[in-house]
Parts: sequence; C-alpha cells; structure tokens
Amino acid sequence: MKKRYPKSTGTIFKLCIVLLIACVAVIYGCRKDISKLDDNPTATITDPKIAKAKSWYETNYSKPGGKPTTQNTNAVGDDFDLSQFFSPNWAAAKNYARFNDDVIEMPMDAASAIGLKVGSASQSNSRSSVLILKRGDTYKAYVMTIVGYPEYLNADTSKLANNSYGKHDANFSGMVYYTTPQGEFVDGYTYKNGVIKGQLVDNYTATTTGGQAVQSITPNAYQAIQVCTAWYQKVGEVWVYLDTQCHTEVIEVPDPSTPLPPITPPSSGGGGGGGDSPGSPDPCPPQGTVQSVKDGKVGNALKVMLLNPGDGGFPPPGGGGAPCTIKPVEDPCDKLKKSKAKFADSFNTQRNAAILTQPGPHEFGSDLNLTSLTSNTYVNTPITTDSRNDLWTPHFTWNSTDGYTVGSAHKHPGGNAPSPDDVFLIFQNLLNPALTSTGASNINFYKQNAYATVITSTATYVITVNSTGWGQLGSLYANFDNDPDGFDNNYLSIARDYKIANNVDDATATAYALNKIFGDAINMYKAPAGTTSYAIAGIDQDGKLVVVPCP
Amino acid sequence: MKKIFLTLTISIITAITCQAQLIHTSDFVKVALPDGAYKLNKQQVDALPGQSSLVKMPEALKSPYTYNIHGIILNMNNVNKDSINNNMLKKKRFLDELAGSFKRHGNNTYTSIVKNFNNNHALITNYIINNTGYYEFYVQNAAKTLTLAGKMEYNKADAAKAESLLNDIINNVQFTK
Repeated sequence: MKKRYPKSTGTIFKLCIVLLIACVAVIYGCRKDISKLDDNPTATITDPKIAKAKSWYETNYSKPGGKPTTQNTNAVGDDFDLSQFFSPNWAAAKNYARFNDDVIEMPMDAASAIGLKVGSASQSNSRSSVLILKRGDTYKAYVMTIVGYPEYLNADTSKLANNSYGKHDANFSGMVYYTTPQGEFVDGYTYKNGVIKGQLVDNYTATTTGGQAVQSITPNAYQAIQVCTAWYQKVGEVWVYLDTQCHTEVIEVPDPSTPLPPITPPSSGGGGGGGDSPGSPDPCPPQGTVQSVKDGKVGNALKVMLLNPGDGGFPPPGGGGAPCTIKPVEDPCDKLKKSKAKFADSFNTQRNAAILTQPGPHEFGSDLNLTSLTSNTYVNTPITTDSRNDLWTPHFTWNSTDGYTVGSAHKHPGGNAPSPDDVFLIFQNLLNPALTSTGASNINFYKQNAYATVITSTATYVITVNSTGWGQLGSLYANFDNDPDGFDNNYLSIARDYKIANNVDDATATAYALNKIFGDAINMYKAPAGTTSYAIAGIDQDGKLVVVPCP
Repeated sequence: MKKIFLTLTISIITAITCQAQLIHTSDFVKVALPDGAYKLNKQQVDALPGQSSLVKMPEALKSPYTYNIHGIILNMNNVNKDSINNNMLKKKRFLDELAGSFKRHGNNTYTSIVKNFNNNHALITNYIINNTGYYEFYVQNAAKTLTLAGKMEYNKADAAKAESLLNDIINNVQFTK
C-alpha cells in the first residue's frame, strides 16, 4: 500500500501540528488578563446598566468552584460564604431609582434557591433577592430576604413575590433581612400590618436578664430580644442547613404583638458560627453618632430607625446604622446649653477672633483659665505660638493666681477640624498633678467644664467630653499612648478615605474622622467663623458627617 | 520524536508558568500592573494585617480594588471626576498637616512631593510606622479633571522594591477620557 505521505513529509506535518498547539498554549498562557468591567459577556442582557452591574457582581462575587455541590453545605463559622450557594437570575433583573441609588433587583435563580428560617416558621416562607445599589460610581450588593409571617401569608407563599425593595404589601407582616452576598449580616426590620415594629441589629449593649434585655429610657422604651436566623439551601426538594446567625431585635414597647420569639439554632451539621454568642451581645465599638437625628432635629439618645421610609418600600440596607446608642447618654444639646456659658462667652469670642487674626502660617493659641471655680470670668492669658505649622503648646494651671485652665483655643491654619491630639489634651489635663492634688470636687469641676476650641478661617470648633465619655476617652488615650503613630495613622486614613469617597473638603473629612474615632465620648460643636451659632457636628444614620442645630 | 516531545514539554511549562499580566481598569482609567499582581477578594482584604486598626474603616470608605504584588498591597480607588479636591498643592498641605502628628511624636519619616509623570502629575506621600511603609498617591491628568487615588503598604525592608513598583504603576496610569 502506498504511503499517503513520505516519512520526511509526515514528520514535518506532525512537527507543524505540535508547534501550532505550542503557539496556542503560549499565547493563551501569556495573554493579558484585562479586567475591564465592560468586557464580561453579557450577551443575554440588553439593558447596559444591568449588564454592567452583572459584570461588576461577577467580578466581586465569583464562584471559583462553579456551582455549589453538597460538599459545600454545612459550612459554618467564618468560612461561610452565602454567595457560593445561590446565583442571581439576571434575566429577571429590574432596574429603577430609589433614595439616590440606581437599584437593580432580581430574584434568585430557581436552581439555587436559598431559604431563611426564623422562629418555628418554615424556610419556605422566605424569598431572597439580590439587590445591587449604585450610587455615583460605587456599587454595593446585598441579599434581601423577605420572610412572611403565617398571619400574612395565610398558607400562600406566592404572596411573598408581591413584595420588593421598592414596594411592599400594605398589610405586610414579617421581616426584611439584609446581608452581604457572602452572608454577613447588615440589618433587618420586622413588620406588622405594613408598619415597622422592630429592627434587627448587631453590637447591642444592654443588661440582659434571662436571654432578654429590657431597658427603659426616656422618652421611649425599647425591648431587646435575641433572634436567630438560619440559612438553608434547597437541593431537589430537601432543605439543607447551611449556617446560623443570631441578632438582637429591638422593639419599641409597649408592643402587644411581639412578632418573633427567639429560636434555638439547629444542633446538627456543626452550625452556629458566624453570629453573636447567644445571651452575650457584643459591646458597642466606639463610633461617632449624632444622638437620634431624625428629620434634621436632634432628639434623645436613640438611634433606632422605626419610621417607614414613606414611599411604600423597605428601608435601605444599612440605613438604620448600628444602633449602639441604646443607652442613656447625655443629650448633646443639653450639654451645649450648659457649656456655652463658658466657651461661647464674650471673652472666648474675642479671644478666638484675636487668635484668628494672628499672621503667618503658624499655629497660635491661648489657655483659657477661669479666675475662680465659681465665676465665668477668665484670666487675660497671652496668645502664644511655637512658630510651627503643626503644633501649639498649651500651659495648664490650676491655682487662684494663674487661673484654672478649663479650656484652650488655638488656630489650625490649614483649616482642619480638631485632631486627636487636641482631644487628648483635655484628657491629659485630667491627669495633671496640679489638678489631681486638689481633690475630687476640683476634678469633677474640670470634667464638667473642660473644652478645647479650634479656630479656622471658616469655622470654630469646640470639643467637650460627655459626662459618660471619660472612661472611653481614657481607653482611647491608652491606645494612643501605646502607639501614637498607629493611632494617628488610623485617623489620617479615615479622613483621607472619607474625603476621597465623598468628595468633601478638608474640614469635613477631618471632622468625620474625629467623630468616627471618638464616637460618643465627645461632642463636637461647630459655628461659622466669628459667630457663636454652634450646632452639633456628628455622623448621621447614613454614615455621613452632618451639622445639626439644636432646637 | 524527541524534538517533538521537547518542544511540547517546553511549551506546556511556559504556558503554565508564564505570569498573566493584570490590567486594572475602571471608569476613566487603565493601569497595567506588574507581573505577578493579583486581585484580592473581600475576605482576603479583611484578613490583611492593616485591617486590624483600632477603628475599622467603614465598608463604604474602603478602596474598591485591592491587589497583592509580590507581598506589597496596592489599593486603588475609583477615579474622582471634577473633584472639588483637584488642587494638588492644597491636597499636599492637607496631608502634610495631618501627618504633622507623626513629627510631633518624633517620627520624621513623612515626605510628600508633587511631580510629573508623562502627561500626568502626581502627589506622593511616604511614611513608615512600626516597620510598615505607606505610600499614598494621587495621579491627575493634565486637565486636572480626573484624579486616581491609591495607596500601597509594604514591609519596611521592601522599601526599594516598593518605590520601584510605585514608579511603575504611576508611569502606567492611562486616563481613558
């Protein structure tokens, strides 16, 4: 039989094939991985907004192992990643605008159903959706799970589909529960007949008794109940347990219809990780909050959003913030009224103006020493400078000759709000032997009246310490004293990143960072330069710095 | 046949070991990252040592893009368009004033500079705290309409490598509008 190719020709042919394979391999292996968002395949999606959101989502919440298998189930603790157990149904995505966000909302793919079990109700009484909120150039993704109570569903789980982020049934009773795609709890709300009755939170501080915490505060009373939720995945017709998390539900009382009794986490499958320990809620971390700013007014010391958004939809995820302020704390407006008698009197006002007019780029300042503990008159202390752009050194005294230093005022030529060093100056004075040697009544006087004023060309800032904030301030000072550079780098990073993320000026960024770090320990008051129209500068429920006048 | 196997083996090894080059792309900007760069997911970012500061950075403020480049952590923000903070010298004064606290504590490592790279100009700050080096950079187009902010964290011992990497990155910033 005649060979189709001579031997030499066959070798060359084989070599060509091998070289071709090799070239493809090299080109494939060394190609540039262009992670451009728009390049992801979105062939089945015609809406460019949804296509772009899909691309962003898949870039950030990829499934390295493809579709989840039963081997992935029963993952617990920190390793739990909810996003590995569901797929968004992009073909059913809807796009609309709400609360300055571009909203993309879609159900889960039917092949990857997940369910949330709350109380004794079945996980079938829940319906999860993926919510993508785009504000500016920034996307955020959440899993929104709506749980219907039996009295609302009346054995008809199809009613769950009547509810979406932007609109819920007028008689909705149940829960809306927000997590990140990975399953990290954000917040949630419970409803009775379309009205918010409670908020699910983490990081709650209260005295607990028998698994329940009740704390009465004026003017409202709140009850805190532990609520555990458990994730399941539907595999065929069987619900497979995934993970349990426990939270605190805060309900305004009296509420005759407390909707959710706590449930016992399933004991099988090693569940139980990923949430708070039952009965021992985490203490609140120090964080800045304006005490109960509602409708632009400062109310009492509460930060629980139990008001409906007003447009028929659910509150935005994270919109309620972390209500760590469910504890009696000093009303910043009361504090302002009391303290203004000292830091906003005519002497302080004139001294602030005189400091501001000092020429050059250096910091100037003055100690503010009362002539006695029973008057509001001040010693005429000099205005001094260290001839530095970043430093002014105060001089604390506590005697009848030099006066009693309750405050200081200095200029920030660059326009920044008070720094951590300025706050710690107040605390350092508390440790000064000139004060501590004079006894408890003097120390208490100092604590009640201490302040630090920072003057810029556009505003005057005053920092006071909450009567309940000295312990927290001491704790922060210990951290600072242990690692001052690390502490200040934390402050710098927060100011810098807030400025970048929100496109705000220097003063706003630094005021935010200070509030974020010192939280409830301090009050920050801000007035336009040359005035005594002080308002409270703090962080609102959306995590933004706001300046709110007192009534 | 020996040659064939040899060629095939070399090709496969090359394909497997060849490092893919990553290009960071977001609205208005494209940056070719050095070989070996890879993007970190949220869990990896949360596990970084820098995330253990006293007050955690709120999620809304975290840089949306984090890369690991041979042990050096690179964060990139979205490009700020028409920012009110587009004056580099003013921004430098802002950062200098904030970093003044380091000097007050006796840490004199902080430096800042504004310089030109290709058609862009950049503000770069650098300081060292507790054996960790920090670069912050703001790269701006010539028209001052677009600003890319980022930062790098590195081990103090890798200072030379970090500086070289920073220069590479800033040189590779291409604004696409």
